[in-house]
Amino acid sequence: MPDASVQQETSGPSPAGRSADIVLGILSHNNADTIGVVVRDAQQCLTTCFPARRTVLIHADGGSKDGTQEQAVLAAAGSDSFEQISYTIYPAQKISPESFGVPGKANGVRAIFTAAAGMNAGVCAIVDSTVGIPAQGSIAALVRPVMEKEIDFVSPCYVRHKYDAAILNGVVYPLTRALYGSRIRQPIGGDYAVSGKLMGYLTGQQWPDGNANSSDADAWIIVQTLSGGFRIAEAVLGPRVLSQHDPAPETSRVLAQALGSVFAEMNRSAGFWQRMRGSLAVPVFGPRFDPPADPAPVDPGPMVQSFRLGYQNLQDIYRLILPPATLMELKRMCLQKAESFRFDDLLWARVVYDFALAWRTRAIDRDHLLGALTPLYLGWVGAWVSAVRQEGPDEVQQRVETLCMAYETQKGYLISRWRWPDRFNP
Amino acid sequence: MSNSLNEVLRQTMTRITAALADFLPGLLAFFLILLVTGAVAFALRSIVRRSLQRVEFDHRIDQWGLSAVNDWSPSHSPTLLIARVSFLTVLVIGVLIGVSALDTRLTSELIVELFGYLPHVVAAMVILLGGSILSRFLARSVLIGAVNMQIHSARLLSVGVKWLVIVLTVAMALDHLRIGGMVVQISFAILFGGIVLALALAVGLGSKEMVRQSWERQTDRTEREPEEQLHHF
Repeated sequence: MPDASVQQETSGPSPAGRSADIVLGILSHNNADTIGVVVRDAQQCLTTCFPARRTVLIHADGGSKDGTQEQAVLAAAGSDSFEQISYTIYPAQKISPESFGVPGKANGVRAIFTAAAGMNAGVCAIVDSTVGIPAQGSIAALVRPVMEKEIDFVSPCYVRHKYDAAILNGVVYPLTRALYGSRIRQPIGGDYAVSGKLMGYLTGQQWPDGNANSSDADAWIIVQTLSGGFRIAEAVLGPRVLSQHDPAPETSRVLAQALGSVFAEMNRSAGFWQRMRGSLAVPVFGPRFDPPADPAPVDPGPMVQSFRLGYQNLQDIYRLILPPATLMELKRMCLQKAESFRFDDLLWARVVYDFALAWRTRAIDRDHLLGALTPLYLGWVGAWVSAVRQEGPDEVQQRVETLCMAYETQKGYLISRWRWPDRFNP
Repeated sequence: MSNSLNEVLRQTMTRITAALADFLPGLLAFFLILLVTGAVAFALRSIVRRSLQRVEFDHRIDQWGLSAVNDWSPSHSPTLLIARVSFLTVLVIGVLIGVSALDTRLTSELIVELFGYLPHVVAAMVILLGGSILSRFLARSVLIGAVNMQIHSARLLSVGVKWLVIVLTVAMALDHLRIGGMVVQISFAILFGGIVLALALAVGLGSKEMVRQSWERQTDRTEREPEEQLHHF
C-alpha cells in the first residue's frame, strides 16, 4: 500500500501492454463509504452501455487513510478490467488544510491519461469521486459524444436547484464564458471525458506544478482545451449525490480555491483571451431532466449582513483593489435593506475583474485578496437569493444569461485595466 | 630674568607649534574625508531616490500593507526617507572615519566602541522592520479571517494582534540594543501577562453572557445547517 505522506510511485499491475477503447479514470481521496458504489456503478455502466468495446477502469487514489483503496478493490471483485495506479503526491499537498478535493489531482489525471494513451484508448473519462456519486448513466453520457460525435472534450452539466453552485453561476461560468468565448456551464466540474487526440495534446504540455490543487488541474485542462481549438460539448447528467464533507469546507476556502485556479489560468492565458470577443454556445448532449424540486427557502439576511460587515471592516483593503467609483457604489449598497438588497450585474462583473487584476498585480497577498472577496461574494449571493426566490427555472436561466452578458459587456473594462492597471483607474 | 622668561616662552611656542604641526594634517584629513563622504552621500542619495522612483517604491509600499511608513517619512514618501537615511548613514560613517584620522586616543576608543555597537543597531533595525511587516501581515490575516467568520469585533482583534507583535518586537529590539536590561524584560512580561489576564477576566466575567449566546448561536447554526446550507460550488 503506498504511503500517502511521501512521494508515491506507480504500484500494482502496470496498465502498459494492454489496449482499450474506453478508459474510465476514477480519482478518490478518503471516500471509503462511497467508492464501492462508484466503482460498481462504473463497471456496470461500461459493460451494459458499451458491450462491444474494450473498457478499462483505472482507480487513482490521492493517498487515502480510510481504506478507500481496499474498498475499491473489493468492489471491483477481481475484474480483469480494473487497474489501480498511484501517482506523485507531495507532502505539502497532504498537509495543506486550505485545499479540498483530491490531493495532487493534476498528477493523478496525468497518470491516468498516460496509462490511457499507452492503451491507445480513443476516449478517457475522468470521475472525481470526492465530489459525490455520479448520476445513473452519466458516464455513458460523457463518453458517447466523444465516440459518436467526434467531440474532444465533454464537460458535465448537472441539474441543480436555483440556489446551488452560486460560485459557478455567479463567477466561474460567466467569467470563463466572457474570457474564452465558450458557453460551458460547469468548466471546472470535476468530471469530464476527453478524446485520444486531446489526451495526446495534453500529455505533451507543461502541466501545473506539484503544488497545484484540485481546481487548478480542472481549470488548466479546460483552458488548454479552449486555447488549443478543440471541439467541446456539454453532457446533461442529471442530479448528482454530493459528498457530505465533515466538517463542510468554509465558503471563503471554496471560493478562494475555485477563483484562485481561474485567476491563475487567466493570468497564464492573457494573450489568448484578450483576442476573444463574444461567446458561442456549445453542443449539448444527453437526455432532458425535469427541473429539481424547489429547494428549502434560504434567508438572505445573514449574507447581506456579511457583506455589510465586510465593507465596514475591509475598506482599507478594498481601496487597494477597487477603483473609487466601485467603492462608492458598494457604500451605497450598504444602506439597502436586506429584503430589497440588489447587486447590479455590471458592478459585480467589474468587482470580479478588479479582483482578477489585483491577483495578477499582487496588489496585496493573494490569500488575503481572495479572502477579502468573500463578503462581496456573499452580498451577491444574498441579492441572487432575494431575486430568484419566486422564479421558476426558465426565469433563473434568463437571469444567469443576463449576468453573463454583463460580464461580456464589461470585458473591455477588464482589458483596459489589464493593459494599463495604473493609468486606467476610473 | 628676562632671558629665562624668553626661553620659557620660546619653548612653549615650539611645543605649541609642534603640536599644531602634528594635529593639522589630521584636521586636514578630517575635512578631506568629510568632503569626499559628503560627495559620496549626495551621489548615493540621488541614485537611491531615482532607483526607487523608477520601481514605484512608494506605490509598492502601499501594496505590501506598509502604508504606516508614509507617516514617518518626509513628504509622506518612503523613497525620500530611504534616500535621506542612506545620505545620513554615509555622512555619519564619514565623520567617524574623519575623527579617527585626528589620531587621538579618546576618539579612537570612541570609534572602536561605536563600530562594536553598530551590529547591534543593525540587528535591532532588522528586528523592527521584520516585526512591522509581520504585524501588518498577521493583522490583515486576522481581520479578513474574523470578518469571514462574521465576528463583529474583527477590527479590534486585528489591532490587538498588531500591537501584540509590535510590543514583542520593540522589547526584542531594546533587548538587543542592551537598553533597559531586565527592566524591559520584566515590563514586557508584566504587560503580556496583564493582557492575557485582562482577556481572561473579560471573557470570564464581563462577557460570559455574550460568549454563551455566541456558542448558542453557533450550535443553533450547526443544527440548522443541513436544510439551510448552500452548496456554493
